[in-house]
Amino acid sequence: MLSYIIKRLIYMVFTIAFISVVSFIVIQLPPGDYLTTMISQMEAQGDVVSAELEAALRVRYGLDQPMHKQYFTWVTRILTRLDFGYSFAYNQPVRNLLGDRLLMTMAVSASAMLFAWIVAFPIGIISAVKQYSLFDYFSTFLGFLGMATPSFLLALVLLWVCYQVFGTNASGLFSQEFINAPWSMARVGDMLSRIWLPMIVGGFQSAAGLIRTLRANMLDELRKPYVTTAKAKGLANAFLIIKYPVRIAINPFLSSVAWMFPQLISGMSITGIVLNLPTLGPLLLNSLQNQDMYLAGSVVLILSVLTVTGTLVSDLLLAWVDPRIRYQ
Amino acid sequence: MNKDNNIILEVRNLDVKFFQDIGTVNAVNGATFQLPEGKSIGIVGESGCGKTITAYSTIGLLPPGGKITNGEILYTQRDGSVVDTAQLRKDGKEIRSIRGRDISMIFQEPMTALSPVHTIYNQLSEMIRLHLDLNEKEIRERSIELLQMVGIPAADKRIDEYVFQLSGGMRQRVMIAMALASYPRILIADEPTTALDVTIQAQVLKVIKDLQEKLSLSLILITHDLGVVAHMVDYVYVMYLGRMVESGPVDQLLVEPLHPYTKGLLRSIPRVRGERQDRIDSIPGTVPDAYFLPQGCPFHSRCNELVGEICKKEAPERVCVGSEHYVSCHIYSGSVNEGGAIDG
Repeated sequence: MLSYIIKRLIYMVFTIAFISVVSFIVIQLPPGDYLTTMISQMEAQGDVVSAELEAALRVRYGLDQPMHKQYFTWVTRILTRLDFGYSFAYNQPVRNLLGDRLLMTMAVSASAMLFAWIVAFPIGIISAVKQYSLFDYFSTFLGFLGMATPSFLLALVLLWVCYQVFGTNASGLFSQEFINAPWSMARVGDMLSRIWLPMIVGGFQSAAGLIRTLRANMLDELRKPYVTTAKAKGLANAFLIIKYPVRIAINPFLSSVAWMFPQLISGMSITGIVLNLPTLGPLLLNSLQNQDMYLAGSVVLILSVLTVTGTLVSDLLLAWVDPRIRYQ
Repeated sequence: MNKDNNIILEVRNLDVKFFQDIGTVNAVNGATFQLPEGKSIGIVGESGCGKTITAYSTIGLLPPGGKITNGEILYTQRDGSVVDTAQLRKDGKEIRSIRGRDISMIFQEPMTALSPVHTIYNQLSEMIRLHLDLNEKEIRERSIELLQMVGIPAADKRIDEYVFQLSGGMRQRVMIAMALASYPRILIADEPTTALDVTIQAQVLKVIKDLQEKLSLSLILITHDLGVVAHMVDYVYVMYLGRMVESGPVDQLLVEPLHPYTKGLLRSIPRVRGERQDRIDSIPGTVPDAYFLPQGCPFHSRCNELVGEICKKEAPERVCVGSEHYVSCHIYSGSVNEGGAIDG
């Protein structure tokens, strides 16, 4: 098992390195670079940018270097000094931009995932056990609705309802007075009182998907002979359903760890903008539009690290619950 | 069967139907059998004849959609009182105290009938913990003892392994050990060797037979294989389209089959010795659709010994044609009516 984990960790390093190279190239594929964007903006405002100034800026930002050199400088700094480069658009180091946002993103994503699990788990099981009951039809309806509703739309609807019913603005992760305040217990409390909205919006779609998956898996497992065996032992239904079919139908839940994390971060870009969340999603979208390459590259790098780690974690979880995987 | 035997389980005129959107499947139509205490009976028939459903009904294990619409399943409990398990609430407390504790079951596919993600000990001890009042140490000892009893080598090590680490024959032995864990009185073996290699089949059957005698269990063996029945049971019921068409002591029924269906089944067993067969005999036609039961004798569409129009119009009565030998066929109903009294 240990050698397996070490092997996986080595693979992970290569995967991440490969992704970082590819994303660095892809980000720079569109014609022009950050400077062309900046200059065209300045010219739109009536400023004249001389060729000398442009060349000077290019040297200052390191944009005159060939791409592979830029990449290696960037990567070396990350590895040696955790310096993710400089954001042209925000005019500050990428690391400053990422710090808080990464934390927020993790908080929002983790709570959304938790929400999805807690909602999907009992609903999925009950609707399979009571197939074709009123409850099953209702949860099926809810599930399809959840999968079909774009989360930014759900976000808008919930914001509107909040405003109409409670007269409050529920967007953002913090109230007005806490937005720029330093971290304190009160600030954390304020965040917790507001995190429910992105939690529901972000988790709803995943929950809907998980309900469908769990229901289908449970229906398969409930018909398996080992369920009859357990019944023939004289075990009570509720007990044996949780001990046997649920235990086996749970596998896709655990593999969902792998894809839910990155999906929650990148998938919530538009929702993040609608809800005005200080998370990575909107930052990534912005940086791609501006060709703010170090910022974009860093976000993609972090996303890929999360994805690869998520895959490893979910594989380890699967091996933990399923001896068939463990022993192969 | 002889009245002075203690009947531990008796099924009378059992009807089981499956109600589905496209129609009603008549899975069991008046099945009747008796299991004397400490004896072994076999229920034989082609797949789909309702033998498994009949057995499942006895402890209320019908698959979803299945319903007992008629008949009684009379189980004589340890204290001598008789309970009709067909009347007990589905998966209720009473039936669950009979399942596993009094009536145990062995299933066809040991690989899928055991959980792949729980250790053998986990699944075995669960049965003991549920029905017997033992402490953890005793449960462990009993579990190992059970595995040794069914002939699993290095039982104390094997017990913590998973089912997929065992061979097919070993898996079925685990299944047998589990079924016998809490000293049941009746063992129902549903095609226990069908999924196994031929070489392993005999071993597993021997384990069942030995334990049945040693523990004086009452055994119901369900199989499509008349060859298996010959070595294993005292008395055989032949089932066709959800009812018993012939029953008798095993040596008599196999030597002198009376019902055309039983004869057909016996003819279709390939012979190794004796003169060489160019082709194996089979019963012509297919089993009629269980959605629409045929009128008259259920076997008339495939029978090669039709008496006449009566076969298509009237279902034959069950008549006694010898010592504990019964048959439902018009060929014999006539002889009884005329002769009047051949035991009955």
